[in-house]
Amino acid sequence: MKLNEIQENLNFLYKDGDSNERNILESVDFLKNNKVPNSKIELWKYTSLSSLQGIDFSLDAKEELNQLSITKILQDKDIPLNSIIIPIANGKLMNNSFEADDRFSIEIREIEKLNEYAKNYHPLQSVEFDYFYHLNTVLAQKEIHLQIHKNSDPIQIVLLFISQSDRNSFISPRVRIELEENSNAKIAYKFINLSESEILSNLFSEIVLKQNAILDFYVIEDGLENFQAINNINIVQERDSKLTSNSFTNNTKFIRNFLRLYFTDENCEAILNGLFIGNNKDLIDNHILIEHIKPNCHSNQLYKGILNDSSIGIFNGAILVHPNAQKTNAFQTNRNILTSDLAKIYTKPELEIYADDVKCSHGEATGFIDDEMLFYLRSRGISEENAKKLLLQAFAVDVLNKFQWVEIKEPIESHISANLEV
Amino acid sequence: MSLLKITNLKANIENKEILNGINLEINSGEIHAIMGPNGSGKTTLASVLTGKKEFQVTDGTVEFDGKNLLEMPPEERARLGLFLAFQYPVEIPGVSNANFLRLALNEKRKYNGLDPIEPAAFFKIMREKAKIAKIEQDFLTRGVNEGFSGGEKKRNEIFQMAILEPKLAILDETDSGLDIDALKIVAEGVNAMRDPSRSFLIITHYQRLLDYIVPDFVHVLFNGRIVLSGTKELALELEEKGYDWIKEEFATA
Amino acid sequence: MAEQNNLIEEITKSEYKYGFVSNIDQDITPKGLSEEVIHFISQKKNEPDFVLQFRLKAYRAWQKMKEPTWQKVHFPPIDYQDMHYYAAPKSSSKTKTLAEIDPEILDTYQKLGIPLEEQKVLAGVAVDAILDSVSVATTFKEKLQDLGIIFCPISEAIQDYPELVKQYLGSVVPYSDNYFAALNSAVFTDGSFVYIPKGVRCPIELSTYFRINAAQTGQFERTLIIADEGSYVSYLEGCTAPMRDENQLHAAIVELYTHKDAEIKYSTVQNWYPGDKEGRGGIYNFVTKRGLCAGDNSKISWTQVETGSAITWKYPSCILKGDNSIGEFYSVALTNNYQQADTGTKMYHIGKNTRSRIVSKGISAGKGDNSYRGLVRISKSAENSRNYTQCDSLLIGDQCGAHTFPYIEIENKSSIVEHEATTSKISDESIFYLNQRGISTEDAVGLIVNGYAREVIKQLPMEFAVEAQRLLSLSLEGSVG
Repeated sequence: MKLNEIQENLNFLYKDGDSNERNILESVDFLKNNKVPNSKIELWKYTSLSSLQGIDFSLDAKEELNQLSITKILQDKDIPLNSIIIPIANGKLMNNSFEADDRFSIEIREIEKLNEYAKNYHPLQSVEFDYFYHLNTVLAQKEIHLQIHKNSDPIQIVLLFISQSDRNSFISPRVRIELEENSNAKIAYKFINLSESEILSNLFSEIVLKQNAILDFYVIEDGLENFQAINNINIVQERDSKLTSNSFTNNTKFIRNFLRLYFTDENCEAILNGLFIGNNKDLIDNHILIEHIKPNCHSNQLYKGILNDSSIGIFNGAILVHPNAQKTNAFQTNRNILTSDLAKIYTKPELEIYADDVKCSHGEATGFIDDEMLFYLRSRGISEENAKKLLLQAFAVDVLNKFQWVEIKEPIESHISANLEV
Repeated sequence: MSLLKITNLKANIENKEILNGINLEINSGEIHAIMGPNGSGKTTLASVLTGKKEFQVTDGTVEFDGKNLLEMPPEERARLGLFLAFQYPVEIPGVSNANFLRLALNEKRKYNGLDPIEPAAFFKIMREKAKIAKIEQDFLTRGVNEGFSGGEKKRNEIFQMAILEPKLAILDETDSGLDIDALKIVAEGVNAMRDPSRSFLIITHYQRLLDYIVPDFVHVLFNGRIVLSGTKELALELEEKGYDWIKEEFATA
Repeated sequence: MAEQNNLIEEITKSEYKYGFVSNIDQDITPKGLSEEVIHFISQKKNEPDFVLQFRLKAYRAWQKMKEPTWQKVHFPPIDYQDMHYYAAPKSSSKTKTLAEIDPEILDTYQKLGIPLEEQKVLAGVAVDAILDSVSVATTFKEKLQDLGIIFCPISEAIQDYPELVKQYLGSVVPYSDNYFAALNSAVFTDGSFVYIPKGVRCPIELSTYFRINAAQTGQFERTLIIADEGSYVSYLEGCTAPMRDENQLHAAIVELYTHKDAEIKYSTVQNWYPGDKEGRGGIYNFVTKRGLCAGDNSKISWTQVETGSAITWKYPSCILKGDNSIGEFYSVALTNNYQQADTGTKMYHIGKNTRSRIVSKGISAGKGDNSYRGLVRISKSAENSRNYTQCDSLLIGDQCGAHTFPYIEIENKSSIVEHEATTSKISDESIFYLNQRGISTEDAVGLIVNGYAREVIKQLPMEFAVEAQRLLSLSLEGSVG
């Protein structure tokens, strides 16, 4: 089935009586009344889905993974082995593959209602109007629910999103994570594609940080050939919670990350770091929406992009400060380098501010490698090519250094160094 | 003649009592110094006198030039001749020193029934007064305190005082953080402005400044009250003995 | 009194000699817009066929278009069939005397320091002031004619210089550009036409102020300025005093065209009626302004100070087609009470080594809503291009909003684009500091706001800058404290 055929096949995808869940019914309704987004829709202005439109996807990718292949993945890929590793194959949880622990629990549940904060606020950017959120809801039908227990000891978890199929497949992972009061977790979403056919992964994930919870969060999309992903991730923060979100995208054909973040009470903090590197004809789209709903919260974003070859980068960072969200601090920095005349970057940093006692800023800069620095290095005898690599490395490492999880950071760092080896 | 008369002044901020009944009288032409350990209420006293709204006056009266000071908005107090050299002058980017001062001076003149000063005449005054605070010409066109060093900010305060010619100038720790050369410039500026019709209230933590500006009276502020008053010898005594004995002697008071 | 009225009529007749207001009763078209109305307008103005065809094409395009909805402003729907598209401007106000004018307006004029004679002009009652202006305008006209500069109403240019008009009309803003531009193209009534010949540096600032009818140009004004090779002109638009205008909707077009080595500097101080404190009334200002740097090394610079109108919707833009061409946009937009502004610029870099600079200063007070919306587009051909954008918001009070929506599109590796935005408020600390120096809170706010806006205001010609500063302070009256 092709993307634009979904609408006419809704009755086939969703048979009456499959589920009485209101969420699902609402989503079916949305899909009936809306088409696959195109560039006329503001949030898809620069992100063309045309490369995906032609692909005929199968909607029931078989799980063909066993424990053996998991073990093999763990040997091959850069995965922090001192963590709890939860494999999710083609969107389905592989239950027997990890040791249970009193710090967390995991189960399959009915899809939970969207958090009230994620609704009704930003009228256009809310996930409620996102086609792929609804498509995920209809196709996933259930969700993987991960609970990090109250007052538990720090925990490290890697969710391995593995795709494997012998034909073009559309998969719909659905994960909900709840960090209870005073919990402290490092959680990574790591994508692995074993398929030689085309995969379109459409993930929706809601993460709730309860009071005083601390989350160090990673989304790693690296070296995923034949892989296109749409990731809608909603994070809801309650009082005194702290989030660090780290995103790394490299060598992946098509990525649309939409991170929506809601500060629902006072004294929340979020630091968002992102590094994206586009090669060949990659398209990498990072959308971020941060809603400061209550006073005294702090957000700080640093996103950097390197666009090589004919790749296209998109960065859209919106900050919305609600009335009464006084003493808000919201900062955003976006820096991009184009290394090729065929590469493109489209950025749109938005500030919408309805409170007066706030400090908000954004800074964007796009350019080529700094000429003076380049000349300085070359005047010391370094070739132009190597000098450029050195400078690009410095540009990238600036973001990577903010990644706290060493076992995640190091493989990326050596990967980049290898790519940019002098 | 009494210029400033403070009677049993009490004030608090966020329900915390900072001033506990200040009594102080300053006559025209006198220089008073207020000393005291950190947190004794020195800056609060300056803030209350100039009308900073965060502080609530709960009791007492302040008469300035025969008028009830506490009833006036800050700008009126200033037009009446009260000047505060701030401890931490704020930076106001984009607003040039010259424009802002001409406006301030003309507001004061208007208050006193005088005609405004024309730009040309004002620039003449500025050039003259700039010498007193030893400030450069480019100072005048820069934004108020914008990107100024600590010393430059303090000199700018003295310069403003020279332009506005107040009846009473309060110097709030103007000497803190200054090297000896900058301190001398500040002191010379004040001394150049000494006049039988002008008084000074010098708030300081260190006796050093009083070597250059010799006060007629020295008061010690502690726990929101003036616990000791004397002449310049008192300052020397404090310098020698420190504030600890004050704390011991008046802690329970 | 009767004598005075006669005199007024005589003067207006002679001024609008191209039939604009020859007979008030007959020259009002019925409400609504149709091809007949357009034929009527064109015929009344005795226009050549190409203008009529231009209008008709625009009208047909407009009929197929929808009113834009993407902007961040809200207003009740406009009924385009419920207005006159060709009418005698403000006939009623001509018979007023100064005593009949709203005292609030007079008070405002007073505060702005506008001389009594000018007040009369603005209120539409003056006779002698108009006479003064006539002589002033004529003197300048002669001086300009000697240099070969054409400066006249566009309706006059259509009659006297049809080739020039034909060549450039719609060359920068096509009739189908957007909803309001199409509407304007169909029904525009008047506006300015300027042509600066090769190598001529216009010795004075050209201003609508010197054109009598400027104070009463209708709601669909159209301005066309052409700077031929190596020429320079500085043009001032608008009125430095508040304009009480009965037209609710204003949909103007300004087209600028620079040839090789030419420069146009276009300054606006816009202070149309913003509506009252409760948000009733006020002008809807939907304007399309665009400049084309067609020749190499040419330059177009927009400066605007926007304090009026209930709704401001304008994006003065530059198309940097010539190599090394430069585009600039300096803007202060202030919204108070219930005013809404959605304004910004578009910089299209097409030629090599093109440069653009954007400085936008938004000020929101009361319940005002202020949005900056901008586009910087560096196309593939625009090698070594540069853009710098600074976009600041100042908030006064906690019920207003400040928003920025910059679009940055870069398709070329050798270019550098920088964008910075900040939001701040007027701190109590700053106000107190100025209070302590004897400055009232209102004046303190005025000082701080003018300091904040200085980078833009200093781009304006001297007299304009002074007025702009006054306007900023005046528009904020009562917003603090």
